[in-house]
Amino acid sequence: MTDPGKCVLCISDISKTYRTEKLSVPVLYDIDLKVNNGEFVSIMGPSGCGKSTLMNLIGCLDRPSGGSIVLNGNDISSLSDAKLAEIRNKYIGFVFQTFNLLPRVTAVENVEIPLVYSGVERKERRKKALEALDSMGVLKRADHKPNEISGGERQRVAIARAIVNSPSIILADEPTGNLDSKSGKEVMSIFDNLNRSGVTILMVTHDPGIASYGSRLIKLFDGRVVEDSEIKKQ
Amino acid sequence: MNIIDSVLMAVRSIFANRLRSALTMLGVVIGIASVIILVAIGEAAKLYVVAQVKSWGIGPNVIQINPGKDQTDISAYANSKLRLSDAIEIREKCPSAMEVMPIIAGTGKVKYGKRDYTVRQIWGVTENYQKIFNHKLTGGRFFTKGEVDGRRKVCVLGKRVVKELFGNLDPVGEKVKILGKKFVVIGVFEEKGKMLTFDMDDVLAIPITSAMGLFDTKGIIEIDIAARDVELVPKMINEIRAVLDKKLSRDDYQITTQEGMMNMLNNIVGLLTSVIGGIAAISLVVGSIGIMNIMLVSVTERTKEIGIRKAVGAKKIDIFTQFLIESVVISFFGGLLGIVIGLAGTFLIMYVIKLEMVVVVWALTLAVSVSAFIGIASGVYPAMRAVNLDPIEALRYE
Repeated sequence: MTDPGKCVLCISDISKTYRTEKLSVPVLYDIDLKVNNGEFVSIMGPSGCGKSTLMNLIGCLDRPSGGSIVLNGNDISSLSDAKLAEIRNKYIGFVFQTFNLLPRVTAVENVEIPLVYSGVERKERRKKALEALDSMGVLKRADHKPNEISGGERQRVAIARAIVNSPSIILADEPTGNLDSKSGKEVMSIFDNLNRSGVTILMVTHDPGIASYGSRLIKLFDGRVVEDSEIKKQ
Repeated sequence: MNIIDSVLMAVRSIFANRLRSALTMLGVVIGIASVIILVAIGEAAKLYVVAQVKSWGIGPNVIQINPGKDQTDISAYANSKLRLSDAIEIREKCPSAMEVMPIIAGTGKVKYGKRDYTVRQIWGVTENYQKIFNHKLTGGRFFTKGEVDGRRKVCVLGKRVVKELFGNLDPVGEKVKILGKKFVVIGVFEEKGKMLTFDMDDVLAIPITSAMGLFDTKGIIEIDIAARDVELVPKMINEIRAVLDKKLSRDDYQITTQEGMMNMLNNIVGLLTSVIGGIAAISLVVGSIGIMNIMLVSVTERTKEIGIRKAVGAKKIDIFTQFLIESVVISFFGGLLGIVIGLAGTFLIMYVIKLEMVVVVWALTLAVSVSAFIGIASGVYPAMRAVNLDPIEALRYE
């Protein structure tokens, strides 16, 4: 991890417009955003406000139409596909609403996937993956396939996969959206703990209760940032 | 991502869909196995033909003259312009020729007492027949020059003819009727078996002079000529041409050496082998289409997986190799299994039809490279499809 307080994600003036043959659909306008190391940012906004697009841009799954995104010192708006893949692999951990685990392989193998692509040797891979599962409290599920474990456990396996490569930032898209409230709370306390240990988190959610776990709230509306405020902890 | 990881991943994914992978592999297995079996049969047939021709015992110094300009000219046999006098002239004027034996052939009913049998090949030949063909007798004698010149009605019977007409009796000295004419049996050929499709025991030899009367023909269908030495064959051919060209055009007769004969037979069998092998190769193409099809299905099915892999850091090349290796593994193991089954099948078939087992190395090599090529060729396009999936779309895919 880099020093706390240092800017891990600097978004300056980005816009995104989807173009088809006949029309162009602007989705994001002039977004400026700085996220410091160790922050826990909740992003809220109604459907279609551009939250997902913003997450995809930060997650290096898409490129902005204008402006620049600097992640951990790398300007990702101008990198090649291969470089972007490398950034995703090293600096970003994704947590999805639907978990997105590979159904045919076991939990530990799911957690190993990012390590496979960063070329970590087999034994080391297994060790790191088991450690990650252990830190999420699902070590006993290591040899289970996703359909053999509960939703909450699946999301914990997914978080283990997200953190296994020690990323600079975790991007969570509605991480509790498919969970009951109890599992949801458990998952959020995991995020809370991760954040306390210094991991930067960016989380999209509809739920104000979930959003309140963050330290900062950003509201998007029609492709623009309309609110950026600190969250007071109760 | 290293290659061992990729291969293991491919194998796992193949095993995850056992039945589907097995059926896909089957296409390659059948293709490779049938190519190997058919090519091996073809090669064995070639050896068989050569062995048969050699067992017939015609020396390499023997050439044959037939009517017509080439072997395809079948109709020329019916109205051959070759005459007995040509054979005699060749014997007189060609110093390199040691033996000259003209042949007239026909077919017809042979009677002994109340029994009758239609002999497939009735040959009118000269007394030196046995010097050209290695056809021994088990009883009696062959006819002499005197009997040929004297148009004597004597005959030598093949084993099959003896069996049909005489059963276990000794035919030598008995009288038979050939096309209604009385002939005396003076000898019996030893059993020779089939040469290619031709039953060498279903024959009957009579003096050529008698045959001309019997079949009412003057057309000679073959003159076999033995040179004094193999080395003299080209010289002898020139001498023969000098004689025949005075009377006949080059379209009226053809000369075949033993070498030419062997080449021709080899060419025919070789052509058949390639044609059958080619047909078998079509099944390989079908197998390859099968792999491509399944790989395309697999890419669609695993769209989400591809999205996840990309999100956690898979590069395009990683996705590409993942799918390509999967298809190569399927076709490689298909090919391997095909070779095993192909060899086993060849062995079985050779055992049943009693031919010598031939392992055709080039066919094996070809089969292996073809199956590897198929794996790559049919994997590239689906793998490209996987590579070009948009990760955002892929993650959203349900």
